[in-house]
Amino acid sequence: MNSDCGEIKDKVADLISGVLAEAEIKTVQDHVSQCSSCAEYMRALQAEDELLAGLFAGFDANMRGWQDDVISTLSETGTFGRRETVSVGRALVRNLVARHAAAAAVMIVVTLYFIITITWIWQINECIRHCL
Amino acid sequence: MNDFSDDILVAAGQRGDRGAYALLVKRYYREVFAVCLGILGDVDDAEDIAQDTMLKGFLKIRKLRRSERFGEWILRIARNLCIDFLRRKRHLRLFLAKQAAEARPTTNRNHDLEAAIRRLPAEYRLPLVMYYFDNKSAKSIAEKLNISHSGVCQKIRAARKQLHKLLTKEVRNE
Repeated sequence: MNSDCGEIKDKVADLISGVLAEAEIKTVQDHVSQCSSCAEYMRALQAEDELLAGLFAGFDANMRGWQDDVISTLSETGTFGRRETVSVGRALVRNLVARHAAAAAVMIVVTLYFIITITWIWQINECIRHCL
Repeated sequence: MNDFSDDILVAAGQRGDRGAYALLVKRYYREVFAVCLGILGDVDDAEDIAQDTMLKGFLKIRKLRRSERFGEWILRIARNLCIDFLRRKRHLRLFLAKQAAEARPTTNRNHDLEAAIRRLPAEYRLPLVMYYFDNKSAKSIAEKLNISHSGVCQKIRAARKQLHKLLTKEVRNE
C-alpha cells in the first residue's frame, strides 16, 4: 500500500460503476496489478457489485406480481362515482378530432386573410382607376 | 394498446378507464418502486408505498393538467408519500426501533446486503438504487434527480465505499 492508494480506491469504485474516464482506466489497472491491497479492494467491490445486481434482479422478478397486485386492487376500487367507460378509443378519437379541428381553423384563417387582402388590393386599384 | 402515449392513457384514465390506467401502472411501477426503496430503504415498506402511490395516482388523475408529464407527477406523489410515511414512523418511534432490530447481523447474504442498503444515508441510497434499476446509467439518474452527472458519480462512489465498509464490518462481526 502506498500514498496513491486512497485516490486509486476512489477510482476503483468509479471503474466498477462504469463512470471512470477512459483516460484513467489504464492508470488504475496498472496500479492494481502491482498493489495487492487495491487488487483485493477491487475484487471485493466487484463481488459486491454482483451481489447488488443479483438483489435487484430479484426485485425485478417480483415486479410483475407487485404490478398485478396494484391492478387487482384497482379493479376493486370505486372510480370517480360514475360508470366506467372504455375510453381509450374515445380519447384517441378526441385527440385526432382536436388536431383536425385546429388544422381546419388555421386553414380558414389563412384563406380569409387572402380573400380580405385581395379584396382590399382590388378596391384600391378601382379607386386609383376612378381617380385617373 | 401498449404503444399508446402517456397522454392518451392519462386522458382515458381521467374518464375512469382502469384498463388504460393499468398500462400506466405497468409502465411506471418499477420507477416508483425504485424511488420508494431509495428513500425508505426497506423492501416491504417500498412495496406498500409504491402500491399506495399508484392507487392514489388513479384517484387523483383527474387533477393532472399536463398529461404528458404523468411520469414526473407520479414520482412526486411517491416522494411525498415516502416522506409522510417516514414522518409518521418517526413520530411513533417505530422506525428507529425497527432499524436497530434489523441492524443485527444475520447469516443470510441477501439480508446482510439489504440491511446494509437500509443503513446507507438516503442521499446516497437513492442514486445507488436507481443506478441498479436504471441499467447502470448515471446520465439517466442525473436527469431524473435533477442533479449533475458528476454529482451522481460522486454519490454512487460514496454509497459504494460506505456499503463496502458496512458489509466488511458485518462479516467481521459474524
